[in-house]
Amino acid sequence: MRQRRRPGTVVVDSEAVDALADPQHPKHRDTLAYIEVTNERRARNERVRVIAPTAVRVEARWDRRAPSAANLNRICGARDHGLDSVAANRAAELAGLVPGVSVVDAAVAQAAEVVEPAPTTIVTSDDEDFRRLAAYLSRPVVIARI
Amino acid sequence: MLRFVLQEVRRAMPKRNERQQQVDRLFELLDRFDTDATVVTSVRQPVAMREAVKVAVALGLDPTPNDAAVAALRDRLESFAQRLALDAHYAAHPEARPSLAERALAAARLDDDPLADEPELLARAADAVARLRAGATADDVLLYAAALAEAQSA
Repeated sequence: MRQRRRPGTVVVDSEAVDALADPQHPKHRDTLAYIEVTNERRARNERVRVIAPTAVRVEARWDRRAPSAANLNRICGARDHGLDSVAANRAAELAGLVPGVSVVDAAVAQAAEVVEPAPTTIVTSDDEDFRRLAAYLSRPVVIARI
Repeated sequence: MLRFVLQEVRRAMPKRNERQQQVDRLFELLDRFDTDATVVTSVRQPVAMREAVKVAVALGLDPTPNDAAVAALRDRLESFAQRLALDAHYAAHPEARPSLAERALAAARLDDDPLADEPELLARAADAVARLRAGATADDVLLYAAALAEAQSA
């Protein structure tokens, strides 16, 4: 039986960012629904935050300084999770363990493994790769598909 | 008639611009939280709250009472600012606003709730909850839908 696990942290992948950035994107509204839930919960003083791994920002061409990113910065409400030396080593290890996953997917999985507060949910369009990566993580993560 | 409408629009514009400037200023300040200097300030609060924070810090809430206060206020400011941004986004793109049922489905998926596999039940629950409570949240719908599912299985 599945256990409900309300996330403390929601990690967004590149397509989730792409979808949030473009109101014409076919998954824009679906992805906003996830953001809305985190905002509703935060407004009730629940501890939940949204994280964008910096590798995701690079892939999604999300330059926070760009005027065109102003709306995305504001509606997404995500903080960065950097890819430092320790994180890069773990992401590289995960990429080696799961053939065929992208560098960014490995970085997202690494972020999901360490960010606080736990537990973590990854919002992604690529649930298959993340389910394979999740099998190697040191703590359980939920995969939420857009 | 047209002249009247134009007058009303002109009258409203400065107010809207002023509000927009305040919103822009709010986000600009939020962006500086991690890099700006700090300042000592005093806050009037219930004595019991001050003591409760001390006890909670001793129990592991945050490293210091100051950290606890700043984190709580930061969370509140960020969620408020995000709400303003989302509402402005929906004003510009009304079709982008997720329905209550869509938000409930997203909440179920975020939580790995078995209700994520019951979108029709969630939609029915959302309809019912929206009639019962203005401003209902996704979690209100999840609770209602869970009760419906429980009643059906009993």
